[in-house]
Amino acid sequence: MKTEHAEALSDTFCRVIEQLAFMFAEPAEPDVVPQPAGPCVAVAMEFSGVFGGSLRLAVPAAICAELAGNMLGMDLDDGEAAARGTDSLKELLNITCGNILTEIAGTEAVFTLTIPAAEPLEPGKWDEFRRREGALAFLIDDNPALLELVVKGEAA
Amino acid sequence: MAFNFLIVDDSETVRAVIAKTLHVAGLPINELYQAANGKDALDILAGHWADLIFTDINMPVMDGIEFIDRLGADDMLKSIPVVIVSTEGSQTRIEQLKAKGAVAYVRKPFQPELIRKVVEETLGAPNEN
Repeated sequence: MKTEHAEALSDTFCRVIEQLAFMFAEPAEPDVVPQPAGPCVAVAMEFSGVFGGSLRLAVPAAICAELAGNMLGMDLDDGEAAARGTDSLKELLNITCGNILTEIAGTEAVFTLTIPAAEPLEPGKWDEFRRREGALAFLIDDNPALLELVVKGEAA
Repeated sequence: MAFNFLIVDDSETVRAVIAKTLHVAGLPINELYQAANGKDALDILAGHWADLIFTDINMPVMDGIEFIDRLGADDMLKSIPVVIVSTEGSQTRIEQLKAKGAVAYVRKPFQPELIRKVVEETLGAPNEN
C-alpha cells in the first residue's frame, strides 16, 4: 500500500469511528497489538471502479457490542446492542470504505462496493494478519484492531 | 399532521439510528416502516403510503439505484421524496441519483441534526403543519 494511502486510511478510520460511535482510535505499532485473549471477528468487502481492491478489519468480538451500543445510545448490557454487534462492525467497514475511496480517488470516481461479510477470525490468523505488509494497527479505547486496504490496478 | 417514513438500509443498526433520530428530533411520526433492501421496500409500498423515504445505495437483493429507478417508473410512487443516506462520496453518482429524483443526500457517518434538517426542508418544520 502506498504511504499516502496508509496515512489517508488511518485518518479516515479514526474519524469515522469517532463520528459514528464516539469511540477513539489511535494508530499503533503492530507489535503492540498481539493476539487478543478472547475470540476475534473479521469483516471484509471488495470494491471495483477506476481501480479495484478490498478492505478488511479485524477486532476482538467483545468490542462489537460496545460499537453497537454507542451507535444506538444503548447500555452495554442491553441485549439488543450485543445482537447488533456484527452488523455494526460491518457498517463501520462499509462507511470507512466509502470514505477512503473518495479520499484516494476523488469525488468524480465511481465505485461499486460489495456487501461486507463477517466471519470469526481463527486462532493464529490475528498474527498472520498483523504481519501483513499493508496491515495497519490501532488501539480503539485500548482494544486492538487491524485494518488492511488492498488496491489493485491503480495508476502509479 | 404526522408523517409516514420508510427507512431502507441493509444495516439494522443504521435503520435503528435513523428511526431514533426521527423520534428524538420530535418530528411528527404516524408510521415508521423499515426494509432491508429495495425489493422489501417496494413490497411495503404496495400496501402502505410513505411521505418520505430514506434509502441506502449499497444493499443486497435490490440496491438503492434500482429502487429509485423502480419508484420513478411508478406513477404513484414517483411523487414520494427520496433521501439518499449512504457512504457514497462520488459527486458523479450523487448527481445521477438526484437526476433520477432523489431530493437530498446525507453522507455516512452523519450527524443526527442533519437528518432532522433534511426532513424539515423536505416536508416542512413541525410547527408549519
